[in-house]
Amino acid sequence: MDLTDLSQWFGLIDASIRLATPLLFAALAGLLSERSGIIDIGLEGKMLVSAFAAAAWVANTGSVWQGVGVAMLAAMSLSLLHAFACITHRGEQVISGIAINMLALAGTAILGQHLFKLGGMTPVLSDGYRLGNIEFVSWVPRDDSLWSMFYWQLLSGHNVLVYMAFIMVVILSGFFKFSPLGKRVFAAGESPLALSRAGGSVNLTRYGAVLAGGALCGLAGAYLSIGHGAGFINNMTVGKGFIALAALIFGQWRPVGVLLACLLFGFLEALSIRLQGLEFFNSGYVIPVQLIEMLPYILTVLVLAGFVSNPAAPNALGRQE
Amino acid sequence: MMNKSLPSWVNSLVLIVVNIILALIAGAVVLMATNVDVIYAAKIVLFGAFGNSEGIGYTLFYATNFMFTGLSVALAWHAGLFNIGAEGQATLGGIGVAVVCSSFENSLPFGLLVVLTTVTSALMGALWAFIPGWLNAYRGSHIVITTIMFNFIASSLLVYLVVNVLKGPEQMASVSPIFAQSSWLPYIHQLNLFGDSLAATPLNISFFWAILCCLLVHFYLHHSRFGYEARAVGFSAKSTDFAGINKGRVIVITMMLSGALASFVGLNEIQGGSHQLKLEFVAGYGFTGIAVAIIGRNQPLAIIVSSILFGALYQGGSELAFNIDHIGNDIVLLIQGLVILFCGALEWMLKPNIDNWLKGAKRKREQHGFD
Amino acid sequence: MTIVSPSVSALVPALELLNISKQFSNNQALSQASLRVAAGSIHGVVGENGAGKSTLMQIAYGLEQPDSGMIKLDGATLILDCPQTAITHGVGMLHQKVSWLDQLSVLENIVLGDKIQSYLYQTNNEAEKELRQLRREFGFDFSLDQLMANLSYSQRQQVDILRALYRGVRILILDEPMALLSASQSQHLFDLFLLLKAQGISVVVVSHKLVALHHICDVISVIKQGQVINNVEPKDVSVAQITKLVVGHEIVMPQAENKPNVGADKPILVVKKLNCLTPSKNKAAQTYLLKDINLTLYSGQIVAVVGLPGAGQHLLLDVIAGLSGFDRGDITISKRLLPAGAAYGIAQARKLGIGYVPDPVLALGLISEFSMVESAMLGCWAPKPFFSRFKRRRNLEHCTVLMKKWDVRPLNAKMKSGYFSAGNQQKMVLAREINQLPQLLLLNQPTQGVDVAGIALIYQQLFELRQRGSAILLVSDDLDEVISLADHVVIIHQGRLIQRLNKSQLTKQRLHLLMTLGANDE
Repeated sequence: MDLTDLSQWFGLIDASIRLATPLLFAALAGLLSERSGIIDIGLEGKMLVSAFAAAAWVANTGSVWQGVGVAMLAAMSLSLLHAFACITHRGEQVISGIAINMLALAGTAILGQHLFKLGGMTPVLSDGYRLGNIEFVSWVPRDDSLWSMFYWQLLSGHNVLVYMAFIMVVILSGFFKFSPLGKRVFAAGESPLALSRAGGSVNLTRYGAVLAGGALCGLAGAYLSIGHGAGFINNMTVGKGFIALAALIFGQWRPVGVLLACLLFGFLEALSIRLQGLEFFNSGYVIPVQLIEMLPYILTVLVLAGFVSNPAAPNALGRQE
Repeated sequence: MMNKSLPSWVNSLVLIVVNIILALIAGAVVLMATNVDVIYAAKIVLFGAFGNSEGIGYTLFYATNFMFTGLSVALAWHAGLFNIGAEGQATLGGIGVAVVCSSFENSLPFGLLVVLTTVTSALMGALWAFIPGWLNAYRGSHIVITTIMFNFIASSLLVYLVVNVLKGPEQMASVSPIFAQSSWLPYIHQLNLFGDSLAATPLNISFFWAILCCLLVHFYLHHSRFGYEARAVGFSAKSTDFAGINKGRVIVITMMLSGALASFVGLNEIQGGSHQLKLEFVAGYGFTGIAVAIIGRNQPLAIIVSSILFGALYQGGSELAFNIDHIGNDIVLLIQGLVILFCGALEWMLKPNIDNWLKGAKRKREQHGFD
Repeated sequence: MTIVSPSVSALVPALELLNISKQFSNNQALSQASLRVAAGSIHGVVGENGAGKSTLMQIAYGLEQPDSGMIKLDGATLILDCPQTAITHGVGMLHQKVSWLDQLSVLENIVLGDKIQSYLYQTNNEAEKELRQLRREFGFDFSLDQLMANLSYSQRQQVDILRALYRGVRILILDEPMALLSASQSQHLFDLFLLLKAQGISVVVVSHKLVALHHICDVISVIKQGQVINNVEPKDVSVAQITKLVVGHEIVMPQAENKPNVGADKPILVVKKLNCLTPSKNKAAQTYLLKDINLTLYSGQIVAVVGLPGAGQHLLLDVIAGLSGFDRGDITISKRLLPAGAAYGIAQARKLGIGYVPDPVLALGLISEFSMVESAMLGCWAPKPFFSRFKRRRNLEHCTVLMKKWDVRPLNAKMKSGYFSAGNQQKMVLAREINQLPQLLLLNQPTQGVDVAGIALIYQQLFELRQRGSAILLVSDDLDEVISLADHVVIIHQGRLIQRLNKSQLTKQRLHLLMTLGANDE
């Protein structure tokens, strides 16, 4: 990669935005859930089932937006399971999340094999069967000018779900600041005792938050398989759900912070892809591909290490009170 | 008026058994949905696991792995830590074993070699668990995320080492060369314990090491000061500070021990089983360890039993995959997830019903005058 | 929602609990308990721990349902199935553990549970108007826009009362409201009660503090073993007589014996010019949390440190115990000099022979999930090497002996620490610490939540420890307790020790004056 070529930088940021989108949906889902006090380790599993559901539905029926809806339903049913276990039965939240991840992995593989007999994949989806991109206006010239590159690479032409993700950040910010429902979710996570003394139902609030989170996860998965990607591949989330969790922590449980964190992780992933196969400062030594694969995970650990404890975490997070 | 009530562990045992049954039923439902004859499948699983000495041998071989990872998870759990990284710690252990074996296979006497592999494996596993542990203790990093990240890093590391370093130059497959026979751990069927009747399986003496580890961990947890401190840290933060317990030190040491335990999978699989480093040698055992620990309620002695249970599931499951066409090992993974769900997350779901049922049963017994 | 003016029926009780029975598992908490609260009265409810007072109040608030019996509000029979129902009918309850959201303002906290009119965006104008008026009427000393985080415990309690008023409370139940209040704050609370009473609101106070209740209540009901055995009017009976009713026999508070001869002049703790500053990077912005503290404790002495909340007495204890660091000065414990700097660690403190009974006891002194025998081992490991094995049976016997000596009930050392009542937990931690025969015992609110009989037992044990030659440093908000126990009292005010009083000079008024004014009297 030529560091002086501006268009390459724009391409990099463009890729960052695309890679950040599923992380963003998932991290916002985690935000809702954890703000209400429920730890959500199962983001990975929810993304996986929704990716599968979307791709499978589209492969069978051809309707893309129905696929999105089915994806959301799939993720929400896992959310319902999580809520049922953690809220109604006061189960261990981390364990529930791990169980959901495992069930998702096994379930998608079994169903995938059963339905499509392709070794767990869905058939590759062609363009008509994927979510489209949105262009704002097309009269902006395509040339080497700064404005043109900015417009065509960063602003316009992204997948519809990308724009939706950014809009969700705004909606959630407003939700916590202005809506009484948002205040209740906040209270459920900070001091459920205060909320119940005030007369609000902690359980109901938490159920709502977790289910809403599930819907967002559904969008993340749908984007992976029918937005960005072209179908479902076995275990296609490869840890993105956990990176989203790290982004949530890095973003200090605030929508805007989460957005920035996800963009950072997206950028790092885009960068690592571009570094693949490159020579290390022209020394003739090629960066091993496994090191590139490791990079997102190593960087996640570094990001987490950079913080000394988490005073911004919702007070009642994970506690059974 | 107060009769001698049932010991509390009876309630726990019944609850666990019921939860396991629920998980199996759910798994059976999934099987039925994919057009599998459940009764036939169950027969294959049971016979495959326990029907003959070969089956039993494999069952116990897998159980050995699960004892190591189960102990790892259970020990960490007592200190309040969710060690999801047993997978990666086992990988590092295997790497350590492979490196020692390939370097010293001909130059050291067997006894010394075994000691060296055990120690190296433990150190590698401990190292891999040390970093997440330290980060959790002194930087507050969420241990679940860090250990999962380290799993991913470990598997990439393994691929790199096998493909670029350890693989023989003329080999196509991504495996290391097979180690010299002098380094192999003796198989149990070679020990002539029951005459010549045992079929050849990879079951080896590390099985005994696993049992010993269970006993040692049990003693450590319930009868030693460090175990006491670990359990104290697991329950409460402030009281332990007040008692003068060094929370950070306890967390780090517990994680290192946990990592060392998980690493011994390398001993069983590599020095005892395949005698070479293969890419997928850990194969999800780290996650199975979570299920094993949950069913065993994180008690080392019960983990012996739950490991054998899961060993049977794995062995029976691979017989199933062998016999029935379109079932892969995913069904075992599914049942594992269901077990974790029902026995871990939903464990209290049926407790009120079981409590009432047990009380009712006791009352009936008293009415009939049995004692 | 407005306040209902004193109603027609001064004769119909505002609240009636008739023949209430309630059983929990094997425990008959209440059997045919009856309580009548007159409208516009201040009604005290007393009883030992476990007598059933909390259960009765929980039933009145709808947190629990009675197995049998009736509840009547203003003569009408009601079923209170949940707190919401109770609130709608004008019953309000203040819990001891006040719980608010620090990040929100007072106003936002109060309206948190209100019916949601708009899910997206909503202002609180109406509520605000009403709350402002109530605030003025009752003279609360905080503002509605203040962040909850900036309010003291006593102010938070008042917010609780304000919320109850906002909801139209007619019968206000308070559970141990004075436990964490200083004397002056308690007085302020009593003034508030009188204002409520003037508005026709009934106030029911559950408390152990018989002296305070005797002072403020119109009627006091005594609960014993699940029944209301007596309703007395304070103008007719004395505190001692009420105590006798509660406990069943007279409690003679133990008195300190003459100064013991054992090592009478051996200084155990010497604090010289101790200074502690607020941690801040900017030197100019730092203030003194403790300034030039000089304190010496000799063996066989009980010294109490009293002050208003936040004056620095808790910090002083923490510093001596090694939990907090200090900036200047030195501390000598048993001839071992501890220089200024970071906290030297409580493990070290225990090695030096210091025992510490913290507050709150459950969160800091015990591990609720541990069995009592295991909790009893906390902090007692110091002299043993790390690889030592512990002998379970012997520990169990030892713990049971300790529990018997201190009358900790139920006598089951294997039961989880969290299941014991607060008073028993307190006794256990005291038992553990005193059993170590510390040279210096630090006490922080030692009789919190303990009933009268337990208090007598604790005083007895403390006096015995004193007789043995240990030094005891006591921090307590209960001035009666301080007067009963202490040989000397030092008053702390804004981080400085301003006066030292001998036992002979101790009166409540003098202590009170010194604490609040911070000046020498005379």
